[in-house]
Amino acid sequence: MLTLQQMEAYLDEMYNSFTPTPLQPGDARYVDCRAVRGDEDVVEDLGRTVRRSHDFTQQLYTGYRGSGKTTELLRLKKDLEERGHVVVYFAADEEDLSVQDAQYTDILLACTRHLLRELKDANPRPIMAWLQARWQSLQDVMQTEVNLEELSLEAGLSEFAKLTAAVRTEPGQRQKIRDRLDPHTETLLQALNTFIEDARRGLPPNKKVVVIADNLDRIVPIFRENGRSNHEEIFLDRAEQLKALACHVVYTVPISLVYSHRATDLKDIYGIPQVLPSIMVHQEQGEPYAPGLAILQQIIRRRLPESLRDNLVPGVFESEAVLQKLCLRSGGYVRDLVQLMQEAITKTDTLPIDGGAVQRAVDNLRDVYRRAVEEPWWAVLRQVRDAKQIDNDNLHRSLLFSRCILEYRYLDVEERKHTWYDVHPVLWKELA
Amino acid sequence: MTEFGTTVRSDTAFATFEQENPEAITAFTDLLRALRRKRGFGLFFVQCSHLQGQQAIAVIQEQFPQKRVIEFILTPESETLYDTLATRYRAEEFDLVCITGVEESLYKYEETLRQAGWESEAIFNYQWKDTPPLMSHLNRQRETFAEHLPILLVFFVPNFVIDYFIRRAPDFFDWRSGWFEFMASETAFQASIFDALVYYNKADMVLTRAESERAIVEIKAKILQLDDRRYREKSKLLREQGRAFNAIGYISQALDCYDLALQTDPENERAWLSKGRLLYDLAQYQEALNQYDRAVHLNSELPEVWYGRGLTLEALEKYPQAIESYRATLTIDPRHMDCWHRKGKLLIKAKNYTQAIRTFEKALTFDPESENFWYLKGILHHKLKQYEDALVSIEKALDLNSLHTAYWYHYGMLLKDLQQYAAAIESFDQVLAIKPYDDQAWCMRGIVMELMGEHEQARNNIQRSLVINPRNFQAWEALLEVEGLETMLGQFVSQ
Repeated sequence: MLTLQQMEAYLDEMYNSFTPTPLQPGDARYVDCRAVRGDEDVVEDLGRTVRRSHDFTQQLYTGYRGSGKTTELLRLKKDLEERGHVVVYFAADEEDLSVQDAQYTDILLACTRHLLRELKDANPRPIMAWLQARWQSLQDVMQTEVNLEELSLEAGLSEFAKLTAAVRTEPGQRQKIRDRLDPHTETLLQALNTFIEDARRGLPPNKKVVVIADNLDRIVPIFRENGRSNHEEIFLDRAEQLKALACHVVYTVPISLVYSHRATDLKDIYGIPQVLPSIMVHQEQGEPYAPGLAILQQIIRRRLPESLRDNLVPGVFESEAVLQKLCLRSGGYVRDLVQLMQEAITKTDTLPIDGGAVQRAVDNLRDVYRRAVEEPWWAVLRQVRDAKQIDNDNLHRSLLFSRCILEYRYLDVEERKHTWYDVHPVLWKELA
Repeated sequence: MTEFGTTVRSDTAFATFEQENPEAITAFTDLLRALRRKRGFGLFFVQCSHLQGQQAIAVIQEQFPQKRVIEFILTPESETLYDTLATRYRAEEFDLVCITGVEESLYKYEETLRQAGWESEAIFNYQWKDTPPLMSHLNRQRETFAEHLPILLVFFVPNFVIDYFIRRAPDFFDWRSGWFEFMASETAFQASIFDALVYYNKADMVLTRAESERAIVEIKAKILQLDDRRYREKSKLLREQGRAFNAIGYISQALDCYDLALQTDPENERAWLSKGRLLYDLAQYQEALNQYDRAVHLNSELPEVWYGRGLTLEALEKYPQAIESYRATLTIDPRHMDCWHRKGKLLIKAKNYTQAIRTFEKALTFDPESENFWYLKGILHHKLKQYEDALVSIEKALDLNSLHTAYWYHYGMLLKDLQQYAAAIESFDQVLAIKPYDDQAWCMRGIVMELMGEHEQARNNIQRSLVINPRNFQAWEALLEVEGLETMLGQFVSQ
């Protein structure tokens, strides 16, 4: 029997363990979910392509916000590095771009900055020279003194940082800077490629330079007057340039783009994008799917204090039914599973977590989703709930973007991949 | 509340919170528990009223004496949070920051859009297209917050701001360690709408411009999440939004809102009413009448519909029908004093004095203090030569308000007809004590003086009246009486 103090200590530990932030590679809480995600393994699939290909590869990777993309990409980075490759990983939205209004130029600048910072052994001269040539025309826009007397790496880095910071934070300057730079993106690419080639010369022959641009999926879709989106402008119109880097690149893309009417174009340009689906907790017909539930339980177990791991019921949950309910309502979407656990623990004073706490956690999460749904979406959600399939239109894209619709995948007996869709389980009640 | 280790005394901030917000206590206890458990970076959202937020902050300071707790207030100008917060964190090293005022920056955002030449259509558009700078900042900087601020951040925000977080900073909101509703969304919303719009039904209370704009923004956020099955509610909100637009002079947006409200729910009689009222203000009386007819058809129990219809019919000079509408209004709401007044005035216009008197008498049974009705009743009695009743009525009006010159003037006229000349003179003197340049009072005073045989005084008074207003023809007439034709002509020529 646990004392109250022990119980509180456990609850404290649990609360701090169920946090919705991405796991670092090697974190003991990581659970391999490929079996219940239709056999997708990003490390394996993306990594294999990079390792085997003789040409430079540009791959797209996507998944729901919070489905574990960053976790998987960090694993990919670690795996490639352990094999001796040079990986430049960056989460683009932290310092580089405004996710609200990002354009191709911004992404190129961000790549440049991170490559400069990471590939320390390469000669930065070509990029410095490019920057120096541009600076004259940027001076009035930037309103800062530029110091390129010495073409040191540090100087170049700090000037690039200024550029990206200006693009990111000053909406007024943003367009001006882009207008000045746009005509010169080709020459920047050339300079950048010279720089990368120099870096590659320092590597053993079969080792590769890989750029992983994470968080590009967070660029908020903006639809222009003509119905096109900024996503199309970046990933399709500028595909030539996105593909022109002299190294391997993995770009994260917004999941909605992968399902747009441009999906075929995207596939033609970049190959089949890797999508990280949700963990299947229901079967298409609605019955609970035991292997998926088992994985979710494992995810929960890994985050529990050790002495509780083998006592999910009745140590942590008052009954199997309560545990199963929590797992089912997450839709197999890991961040929501973690959120539900976090909420249920918040509402719990003494273990085990009871049905009331789980119900309140579910209600809390439902409220968030309900409030994300725009009025015309409800009818569409009802259709998806019935049909288990989606159309390729803006509305469905918005619904995928907001995670009101989840994607599931499984291999059938003949090892064929099946993809289906459903409304997030917390919203089912609202559709009745 | 033993879970905090001590018994809570009744004079604590917690006790105050509990007493004043019994419905929020579970959510609040959850919040305190979460704050107590969380280590490192934690992001919390609380949906509450401003007052609840302030009370909660006091409790947090009380419950966590070992933690340094500060309040960080955002202003309408705040477009970012990280830099200022981080600077302050480096200086003060607090453990927990309560952030308030996010809504201010959002109101400002919508206002800025308008100033920047956004058609209000874009603001009025029921879609989320653009993103306020603060939301965009938070969404983009979430990693920076998590990495550099190993503290607890608690956002205290009103209902609609949560909608903004969910839709416009979803990644930031995704990293929450919890969100807590002190007020159920529905209640909070009803309360805010009620607060914002209750003014309209009270004639004298007017929302400030800023309040109306807030109402517009908040209502929009709510409309966006209503499902088509809740069309009645949506229609009501659209009407409320229309009224808020109307209040700040955005007439065409107001009309659009009403039309949309009616398209959404053609049975929303109050939307017909509001549209009718607006068209009335725009002097489109025939159209206004059509709206009122629709409203009456849907619900014949709303006094404001009947009254508005009456006003419109009056403007269209359809007096008998207008009187009918006023009568219907008063059957439902007998305390509608404006309506009694309108109805009486129309009966006077139709020279139906007896009916008018009865109308005012009826009104006085509901409000015996209504001096104006006593006065009007007095005048009518006078007109019908019912002198006793006239005297009683006007004296009653004067009892209630002795500073109203019209009452004194008519009192004087009445006394004159009753041949109580000295008393009549006193009445006119009362008028002149308040308004020394009242030419009509001077004129009547002169006439009464003449009746009293005070020839000099009479001439003097009437001439004074003419000095003040040479166009007072009754005075010229009186002068003619007093002076005789010859003198009169001489004066007329010299004038």
